Amino acid sequence: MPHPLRPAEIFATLAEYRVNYVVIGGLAAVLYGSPTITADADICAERTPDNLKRLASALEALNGRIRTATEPDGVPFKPDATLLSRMRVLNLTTDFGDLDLAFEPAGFAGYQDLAEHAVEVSIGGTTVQVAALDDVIRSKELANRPKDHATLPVLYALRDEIGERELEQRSGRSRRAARDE
Amino acid sequence: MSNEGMSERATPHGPRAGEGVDRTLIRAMLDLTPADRLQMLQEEALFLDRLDRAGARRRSESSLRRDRT
Repeated sequence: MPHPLRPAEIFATLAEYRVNYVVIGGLAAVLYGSPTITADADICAERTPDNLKRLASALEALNGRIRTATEPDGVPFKPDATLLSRMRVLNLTTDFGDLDLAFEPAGFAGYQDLAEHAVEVSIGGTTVQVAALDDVIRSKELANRPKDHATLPVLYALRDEIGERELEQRSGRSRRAARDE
Repeated sequence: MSNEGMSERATPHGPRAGEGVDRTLIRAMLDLTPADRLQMLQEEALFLDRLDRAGARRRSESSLRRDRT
């Protein structure tokens, strides 16, 4: 049976091997405050040869195995940069839960495209790049899978709620500034 | 994807601002830090894993019982 998801450990291992990546999908949504549940960590890694080498080492350290519908415990494989460079998507199971690599998530050419608007978040001392909420939403809209249909209304509400809080904070700040003048 | 016939506030997946979604949980999540949100997800994942394992155990016990009878 696959291990339950422990994203902080996955992030720590990727950081240990200095892998450049952006957190995407349901996990990114949770980091922004979505109350939805996700069973896997989705990331988009940079596709440069050096980064793929570091990613291959990190996947080995995570004991990454290829996950399929018939083999949820995963099929062992030897990750290497050449193999990873040929992949667009790779669904893995690791010692810290399921990890999905998407090198070209729906609507995006790859890591650079997402990193441009990504936000840095600190998780237990590890800095993680998280795709912008608008980009997470856009990718889900374009992927258009049944599970995305269920999540998108919640993400729209989350984006609206974040916007309202930002407005409140800004107006609170300007009221305080006016009072102090 | 064509947006023909849809208002500015609508998407094929629902109202753009998520009207109609209960925001109680969203507001509670927004009061937490990203690390706390992750911790919460991790606890939910552990709980679901325990449920899965208990279900698998029950299924295997009942299939053993069937085999014995």
